[in-house]
Amino acid sequence: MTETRTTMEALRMDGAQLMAAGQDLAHRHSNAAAAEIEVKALTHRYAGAEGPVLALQDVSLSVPSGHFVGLVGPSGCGKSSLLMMLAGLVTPSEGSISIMGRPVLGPAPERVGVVFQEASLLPWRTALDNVAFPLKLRGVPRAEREARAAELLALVGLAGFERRYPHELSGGMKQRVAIARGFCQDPPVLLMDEPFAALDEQTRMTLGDELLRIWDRQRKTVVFVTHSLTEAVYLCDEVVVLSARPGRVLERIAIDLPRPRTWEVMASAAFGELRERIWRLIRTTP
Amino acid sequence: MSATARPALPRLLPGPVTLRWLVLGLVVLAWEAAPRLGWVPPVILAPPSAALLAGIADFGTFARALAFTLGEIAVALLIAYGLGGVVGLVVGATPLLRAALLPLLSSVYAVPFIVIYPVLTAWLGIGPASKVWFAGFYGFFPVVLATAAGVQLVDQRLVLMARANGASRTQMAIEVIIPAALPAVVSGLRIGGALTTIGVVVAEMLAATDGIGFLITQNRTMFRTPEVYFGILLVLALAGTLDTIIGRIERRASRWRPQPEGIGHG
Repeated sequence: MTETRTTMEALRMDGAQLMAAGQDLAHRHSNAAAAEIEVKALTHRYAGAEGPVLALQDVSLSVPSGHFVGLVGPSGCGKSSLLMMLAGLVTPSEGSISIMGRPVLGPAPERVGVVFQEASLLPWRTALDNVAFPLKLRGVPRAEREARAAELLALVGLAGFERRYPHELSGGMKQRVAIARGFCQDPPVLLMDEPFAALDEQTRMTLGDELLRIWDRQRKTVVFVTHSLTEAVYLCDEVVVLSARPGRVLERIAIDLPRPRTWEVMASAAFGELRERIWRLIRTTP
Repeated sequence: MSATARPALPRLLPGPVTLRWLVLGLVVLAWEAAPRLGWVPPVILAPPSAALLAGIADFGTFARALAFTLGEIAVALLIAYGLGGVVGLVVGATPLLRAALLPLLSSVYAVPFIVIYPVLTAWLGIGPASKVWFAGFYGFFPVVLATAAGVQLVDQRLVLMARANGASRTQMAIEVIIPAALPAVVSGLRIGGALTTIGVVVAEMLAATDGIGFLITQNRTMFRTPEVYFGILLVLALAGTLDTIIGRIERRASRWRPQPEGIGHG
């Protein structure tokens, strides 16, 4: 009996050491800007009305930890599908996706947060309950999840709006709630599917600035799908340009504009050049 | 307070509520006047005052019959709502069942069920069992159809969002599908409730040993017209009460939705 116990203890020790070693390894990796998202040879087909449709073809991508990456491309290029695959909501036909070193086989909310368009708020829940929703699903006690949600609402500038229902909020406010919900579980990776698409230009710019402000503090890895090239250049460290269907990676353009960025940067020549470069890529591909 | 924001109606017209009571009052008045003034023979139409007096005089009989009918309605509602809700949820959420069964269910719904009632009495006797099953199935169909339709109408973006956050099947049902389908479901409950009440009373009228419907038929065969009308009034009150209760639930269930008046109430 004593022997077994010592073996058990030894095993536990080993486990602890292994954990420590793992953390150490992870640390060293992150220091070297390890790829947090790794997409390898992704191809996706789906059954369309007129036979199978090739949506994505041989897409490979690696996103280093803490990077803000934009996905742009002509409409129907599969950028949203790619995001859904990263979120574990769609299984790719071929290829693999791993996030934080583990393969994505289904939704993994503790690793990956998703921010959808404003319409994704539960209309029968208050702003606070909407933000706390992911925590509720995980069984976090009410007091704890509400405290966390209130904190996040304050972060996105909606303190005092906790008890409002979505229909009582403006489009921009709803989107802030959706962003707060994405941050709720504090996932290292945040996927954003055209989050500002339904908003007017002014609100869109303001929210972009807000997003950058929050991101600057937390440095999450962000994959941001948008059809606004200005938005992509303004927000991102890197813009991945996809071709028209079937979506392939045309080019990965590093956006080396200094941070923190303010709206003045948009008037700069560098900004215009980057934007134009992306535009040419999208326009000239079939 | 919210009325001040509305465009002022011309002073001559009464408000909708006033108008409603006015119409109702006129109907009751005409009903009272017609037999009293000899326009209609009192054997065919008893004035409401006579019906009320007859009801008060025979209060015990009516109360017992009412309690009996209420019991039958309660059990029938259990069948209609319970079975109908579950079947509707499952059929609505399963594409195969939806495609296979929904057309069938809606055609069956169009069949006048009363034709099977004599068969049911042959199987179950003329006691409460035949009423409960007949009325329960009468109310079952609108509940199934409304629930299935409500489930189908659930915004898929909400479903996707919940899935991305790792919702289990049960959580998906409780947190997303049911609340989203609720307004449609409640309208089904409303129709189902009315049909169940009708089903019980009509069945009692056709073949029974007790209950309000039975009492109405019995009094009619004996030409006790005031008693017949009192029974009818009781049935109306019963249906109205049930509808009011469901209406309350409906309003509670849709509190989160934009209210037509006074947007800034939050």
